[in-house]
Amino acid sequence: MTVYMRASEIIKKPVVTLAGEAIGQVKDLVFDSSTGSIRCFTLAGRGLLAGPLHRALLWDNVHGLGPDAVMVRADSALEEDDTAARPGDGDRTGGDVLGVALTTCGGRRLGDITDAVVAMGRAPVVAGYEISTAEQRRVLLPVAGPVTVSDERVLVPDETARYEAADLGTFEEAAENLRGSLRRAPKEG
Amino acid sequence: MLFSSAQGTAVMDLTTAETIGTVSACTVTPTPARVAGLRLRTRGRGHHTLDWKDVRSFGPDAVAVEEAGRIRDEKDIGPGDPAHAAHDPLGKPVLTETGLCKGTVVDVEFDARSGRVVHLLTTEQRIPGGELLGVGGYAVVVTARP
Repeated sequence: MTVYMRASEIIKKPVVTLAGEAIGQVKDLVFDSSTGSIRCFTLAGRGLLAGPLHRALLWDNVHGLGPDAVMVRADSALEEDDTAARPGDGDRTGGDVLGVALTTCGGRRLGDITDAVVAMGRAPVVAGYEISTAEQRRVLLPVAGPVTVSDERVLVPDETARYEAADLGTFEEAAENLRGSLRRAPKEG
Repeated sequence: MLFSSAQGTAVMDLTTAETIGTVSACTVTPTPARVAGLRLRTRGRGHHTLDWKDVRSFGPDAVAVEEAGRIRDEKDIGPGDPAHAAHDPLGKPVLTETGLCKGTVVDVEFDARSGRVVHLLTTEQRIPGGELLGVGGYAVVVTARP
């Protein structure tokens, strides 16, 4: 069973090596505006008064992500500096998925993205988004299949709108159903 | 045997038959999971450490050491040394490699002859020694069971 959590819940989680040493805590998430997933974490030192660590943790270097800690193989999993967290020259402006409109390919705006839903475990991935609809409802929508991201909107297949979940408990079912429906109706061309 | 039952055991010097101190804590190292050292409470201030390889025998009533010179002052041991106090698992949270907390270590079940750690006992379950990945200053890390 896959366990999901909101990306914002990762903030403040300790970053722990497999040797059992805490090397920092998550300060913030940096989204990748070209893929809609998470690119890296910025870190702070541990403790109440600790300042920023100025060393980024790339998403690919996360060994495991759970409800109690972000696990990394060793101290060397961190970057030497935090340049990865800053928008690079090749990047479009923005660099964030939060606040962007989630829109279907058919042209229906489902709502604004307020958070990402992350599948935890050994290979954590962004599995969906939390959106705030036009009626100010907060719903969770799984993503699967072709997703296109710009700094104005995240484009998802039309089917996505039919598989919204009210909370994380029912999100897995919604994600399963969406994947099932996309498999049954493969895209033409 | 359980480490809790070994706490307070006298450590005796085989050359002088004197008591050097009493067992107060242990340090554990992974792959394979074993007791790396014993922390002793000695007369006076500070702690001293005895490497497991210097333990001649671990009896029910006393731990025998060849000579008192094998005991090291804790101040001379770096954090990278498996016998450093940071590798004491008792009271630390147990995290799986996927970041899930499985309770706090309350006791260590080990083989008194070889020093092999059989189980880690947490507030929630018994974790086989083979699943241990690391014991650090913050947490004890174990493999995630599928």
